[in-house]
Amino acid sequence: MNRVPDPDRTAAGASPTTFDPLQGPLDPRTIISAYHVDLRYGNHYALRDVNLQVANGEFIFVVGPSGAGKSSLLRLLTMDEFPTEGRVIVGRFVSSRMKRSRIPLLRREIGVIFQDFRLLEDRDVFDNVAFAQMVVGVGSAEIKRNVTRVLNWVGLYHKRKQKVITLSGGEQQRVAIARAIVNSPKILLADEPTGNLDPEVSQEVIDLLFRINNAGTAVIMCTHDHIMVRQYGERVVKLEEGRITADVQRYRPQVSRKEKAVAEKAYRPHEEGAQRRQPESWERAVLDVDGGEEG
Amino acid sequence: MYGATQMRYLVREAFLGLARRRISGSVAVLIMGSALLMLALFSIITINLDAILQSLRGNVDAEAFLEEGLEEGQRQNLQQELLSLDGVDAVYFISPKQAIEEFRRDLGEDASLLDVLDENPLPASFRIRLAKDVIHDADRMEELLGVIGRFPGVDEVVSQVDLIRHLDHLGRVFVIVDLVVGLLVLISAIFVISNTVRLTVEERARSIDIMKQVGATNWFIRMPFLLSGALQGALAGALAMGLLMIAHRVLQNEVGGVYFFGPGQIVGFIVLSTLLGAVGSATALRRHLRI
Repeated sequence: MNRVPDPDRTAAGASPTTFDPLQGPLDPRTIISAYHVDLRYGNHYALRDVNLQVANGEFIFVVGPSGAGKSSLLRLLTMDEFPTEGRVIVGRFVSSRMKRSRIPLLRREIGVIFQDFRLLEDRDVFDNVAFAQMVVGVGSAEIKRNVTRVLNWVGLYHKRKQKVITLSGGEQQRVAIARAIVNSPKILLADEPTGNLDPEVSQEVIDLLFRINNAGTAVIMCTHDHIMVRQYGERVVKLEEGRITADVQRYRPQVSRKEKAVAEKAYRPHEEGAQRRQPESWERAVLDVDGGEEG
Repeated sequence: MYGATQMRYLVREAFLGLARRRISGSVAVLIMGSALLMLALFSIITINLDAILQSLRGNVDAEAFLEEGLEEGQRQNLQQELLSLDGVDAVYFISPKQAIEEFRRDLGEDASLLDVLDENPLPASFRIRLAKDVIHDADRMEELLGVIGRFPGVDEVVSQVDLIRHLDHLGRVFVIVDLVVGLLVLISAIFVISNTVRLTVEERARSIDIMKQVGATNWFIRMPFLLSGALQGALAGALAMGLLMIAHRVLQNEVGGVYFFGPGQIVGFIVLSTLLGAVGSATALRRHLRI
């Protein structure tokens, strides 16, 4: 296994067994791994002895207060940063053997979305999504086909000719999601994707991420919103001061009554939080996305 | 890996980029144009000063005065021998009669002074046209004139070797000043262009970051900037050249005899401007393309 399932869900401080594929056996399902990673700026440790294995198709919440190293972790995975100590392996890319010229190749295999959307503001929706295909070298007919497909999928095809700055925050994030998945990545990284959004719109974005995950893409989502995370039966990695202090598989949502009340009020006032991962539930959520934004 | 779609995209992006930042782009072209105008103006001044120096040298002939009582045959032999010397292009015979005619012509209104003379005091002479490379080298010229002066039948050789020495000195100073000032103008032109392009790049720093995040290679990001930079350079070069052409035409009507660039040089200048524009944007982008 690539991680330790913890039936008691009390894995605070647990350090998962680590197999370095360069030294030992490799779980064929592992798509991301970090081995004893330190990231240091001068004397300040952004990350300290981080060990993490992510399997193909997993969904992981990375939680922790601001400054705990969540963004640093994602920056290591996109190889914006390189570990001071240790090694990061993403797909076929190994941080210690990475040439700068190959970084664009890595980025094309990872979809990334951010709190601030990071869209090209002087272009329309279509061109923003098409850019990700353009840099890969896809021909124009195929670009048109793929971009049309993903824009339909996030429910924004009818706004393809609008400049992105004319869209609402939720719509902009959906454009960013469309751009992130247009190259059919195996990995999607989301850095506080709901940080700038209203609770309802946040829910739509998270539902989209679950749909993407359901199609087989591993999703790593950073957030500092513990309450929301507890509604889902997913793996949760907790970062504190640069260290992983918990790596827990939640099989069932376990929410205190008070928290549940808060969460329901905040996210889905008319639905049971526990049902969120049932297929019909998120199909409905996506329908809400399409209908809600236009109104 | 990149096909026609990508090429078309990059070219379109270059033009769109210019269209999007019409104002800052025009300002950049104007600033680049001024820098290039300085460069072109400096080149023109260089060309014209050089032409003046050359024409001064072209008028320098040596004159060998002949001893009196030289036979016709001896004189022709002497002419052949002088002509066979290395560094002598042509030898013209000036008879005393021709000499006094020329003198009269040079004197102009005062020619009547010569009427006082009973007989022609001027000796016969050879006017010797020296080869170009000799004129350019005062030492060699002096040596050659010495050889000519020792021929039997030659009385005295007169030339403007001092003028040549002076021109040589002037020419050397001119070349040094030319190189220094030219280099300064070129460097400041590159600096100005690079800074102008940097302004438009700073505007786009965020976009560049996003493009890198999505997996664009540095060349893919750089290309539209290079193309639009080159285009701006070409426009600025054409602008500078056009202004200079108009100025030249006006000056030509007023003064005349001012040299201008040939067609090849005009094309070369615009090519240079294009390259400067491209290099300027490349250096301006470098900081942003570090991963």
